[in-house]
Amino acid sequence: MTQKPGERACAHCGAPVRAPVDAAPDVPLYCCAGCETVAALVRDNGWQRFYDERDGFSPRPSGALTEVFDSPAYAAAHAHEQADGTVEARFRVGGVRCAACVWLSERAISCQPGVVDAHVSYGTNVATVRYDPRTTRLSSLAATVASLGYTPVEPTLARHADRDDLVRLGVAAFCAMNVMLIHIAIYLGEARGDMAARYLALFSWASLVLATPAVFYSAVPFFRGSWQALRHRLLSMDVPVALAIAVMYAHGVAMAFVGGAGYLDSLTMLVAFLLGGRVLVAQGRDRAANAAEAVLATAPDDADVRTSDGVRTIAAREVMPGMVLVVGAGGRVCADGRVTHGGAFVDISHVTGEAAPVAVGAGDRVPSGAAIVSGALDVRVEVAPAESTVARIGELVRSALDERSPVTRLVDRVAPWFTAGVLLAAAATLVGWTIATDLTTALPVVVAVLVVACPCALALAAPTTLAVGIGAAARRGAFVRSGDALTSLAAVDTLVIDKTGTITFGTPRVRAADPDTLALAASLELGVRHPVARAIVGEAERLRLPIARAYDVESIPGGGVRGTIDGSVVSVTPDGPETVLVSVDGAPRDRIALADVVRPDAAATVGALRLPVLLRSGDHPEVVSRVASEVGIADARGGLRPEEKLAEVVDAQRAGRHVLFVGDGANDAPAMAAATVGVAMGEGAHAAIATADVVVLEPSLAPVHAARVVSLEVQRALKLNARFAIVYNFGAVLLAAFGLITPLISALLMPISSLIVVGNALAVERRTRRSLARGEAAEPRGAVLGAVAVGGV
Amino acid sequence: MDILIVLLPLSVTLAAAFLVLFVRAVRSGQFDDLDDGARRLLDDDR
Repeated sequence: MTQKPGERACAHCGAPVRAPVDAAPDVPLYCCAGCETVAALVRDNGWQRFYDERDGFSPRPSGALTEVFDSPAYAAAHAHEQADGTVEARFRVGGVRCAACVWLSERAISCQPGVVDAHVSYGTNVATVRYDPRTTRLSSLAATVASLGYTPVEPTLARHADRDDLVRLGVAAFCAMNVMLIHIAIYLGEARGDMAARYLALFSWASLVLATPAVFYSAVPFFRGSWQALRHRLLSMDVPVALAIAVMYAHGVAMAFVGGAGYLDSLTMLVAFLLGGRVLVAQGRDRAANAAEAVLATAPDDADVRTSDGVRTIAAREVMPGMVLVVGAGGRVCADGRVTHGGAFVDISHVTGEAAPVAVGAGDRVPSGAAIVSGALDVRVEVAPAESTVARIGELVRSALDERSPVTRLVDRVAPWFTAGVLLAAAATLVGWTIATDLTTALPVVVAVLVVACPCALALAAPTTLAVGIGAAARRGAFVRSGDALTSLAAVDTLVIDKTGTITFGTPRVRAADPDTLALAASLELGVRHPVARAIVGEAERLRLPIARAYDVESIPGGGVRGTIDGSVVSVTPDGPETVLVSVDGAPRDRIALADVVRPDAAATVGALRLPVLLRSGDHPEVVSRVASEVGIADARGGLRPEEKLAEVVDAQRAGRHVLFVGDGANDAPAMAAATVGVAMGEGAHAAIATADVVVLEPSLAPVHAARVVSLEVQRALKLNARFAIVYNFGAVLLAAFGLITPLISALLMPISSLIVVGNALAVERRTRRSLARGEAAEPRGAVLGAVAVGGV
Repeated sequence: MDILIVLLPLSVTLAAAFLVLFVRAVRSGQFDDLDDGARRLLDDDR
């Protein structure tokens, strides 16, 4: 921020302050009482390092209303009473700009009386506070945050109750390990045939006691799931699982009285394995929910509003159409509106995807989320923040999360047939054995049928395979958000790809320029933050051109920069989509040609994917067709708005196609959310990354291909595992029906089948390496990585 | 082998102690946000 002579920046919020003549340079100055109070608060509590470590200036404190946090509706959604009488509640700390802000707000909440524990997440800025409701209220904790200049707001999503699942898993694992140890003694005793009856009774009763928590606490979700399914007259995968658990436990109770080996070790192991899978899936969903929170965190939470007696800061949700917002450099516009006053360069890449800031002046429209790069604006609000662009993007993400995954749908489709088959087999066994022998001989056989029919391997197959696949993709630079994204990626048959920042690097580079002109322009542009300026300065530095000192550098509203070098006025102004004009004393002198350079691996990757490609960009059609021919894409269209990109994706899907969308800007976020699979280039906008199913964190397109190869391998392993699991269950049921399965054999079969399924899953990594190595020509980096990995092993 | 009547509950109690520790760790929120800890490493003075 630049100051006029005699002005300094407010030590808290950075607003210009008129400095008294006698002010010492190292004494901090404040723009208002509010900022001074915050600074005093920070100093008095010994939190001075906040000012040393923050990345930029902090928001000015506002009198945000916090009563809403005490309302019953808020408590129902975001507060939970704990067993010890404390309450755990959540709210998002709006206005957090850096790690130091997280630190400061967390400290401030922790220091309040009645607060047991406070934690502010770095990723989502959500504060989780545990406090004593008799001492304090959530509203006063929110007020603490507000007094520091942050805005407490309601978090978007209610927390998933996954702590319970983890505890259930812990209990089941504890039970399984102990019961297994005891059962080894039982099996050995049975094999030798000389175990005293009282020890057998001891072991049987001990394993029954130990298996009880696994059934009545850990396995509750399976019972509840199957009860709900049955009530709706459906058969889900939970039904055969719950049936097997119930049968095994009942058998165990009977065996405790008789003395002897039951299926309790198989039972506890089964519950532990299945809960492990559940926890894996829940973690994936939580990560996606956090990502959605991160999208909404990009929207500003407070706004400066012009009133009759000056400027007032209010919470973004209180902003109404008709209000006039005052936004300065570094700030963001919180609602869609029209400029009434001023001029500025704004970054609206989250809507257009193009990196270059746009000049706006009075009468121009600005979308919410627009960041002011330089200048200042008065904006009359036309649409309330809740209906603004950023809010709509958040809405899209949220609805996408609610959708059910294809893998779950597939498993649920098999479930009725599976359950019916098991019940039929059990009934047939019962009838057959009762006719052949009698009911007392028949019952243990029926129990064995129901036990080995439990679809443990089938239930485990998908989560483990997906987990390995996600790891394999991550090692190759593609971060897959969920297992479902990976399976969907195998099904895509159309590629819709963005240009700027995806096929190209996204930032312009100098293509052709006269060195003298370039040196002149670079002298002027040194220190300007516009991407074109950076490209010019970067090229000049690369060529080691002499850079002169420029004076009175200012931006020209409407685009460009002007300044004085060696006594003459030099200006650099845009001239066509990819050229800038350098003028000296008003007379045009020369042009500098710029271009967004195509990534070197773009053509190879697009070719290796072997999919029909549609290039869709918001950029100038001329530029788009040049890039398309360079990469070898026949179907290219430019000048598209975000809605049109979204429409392209939706149209293709209506025509029955599965769309893979690769992009980088937040303007791509709606299309990315709608696409079967959305891939975001990691250097792109935050919102795009948050919406994407796959994020590529390298400056390269090769990971997109790698992720596709991984997904195909995962698909293969999933099919193989599903087939194996079904064959295993079928074979085991057959053996059991002929009375060949004993508790010992079941205890051996259960882990062996699980290990085979996991082994198949682990093979995904090896196969991926081989597939990528085969496509060497298209994939040199992958092949090298593969070779290194093989050499390393 | 009557010592088993003592040893069996003893070993189960020992294992249960670890289970209690795990449950307390979960309830205190240590597993809530697995990415957060990695970022907090960059913060000294804690």
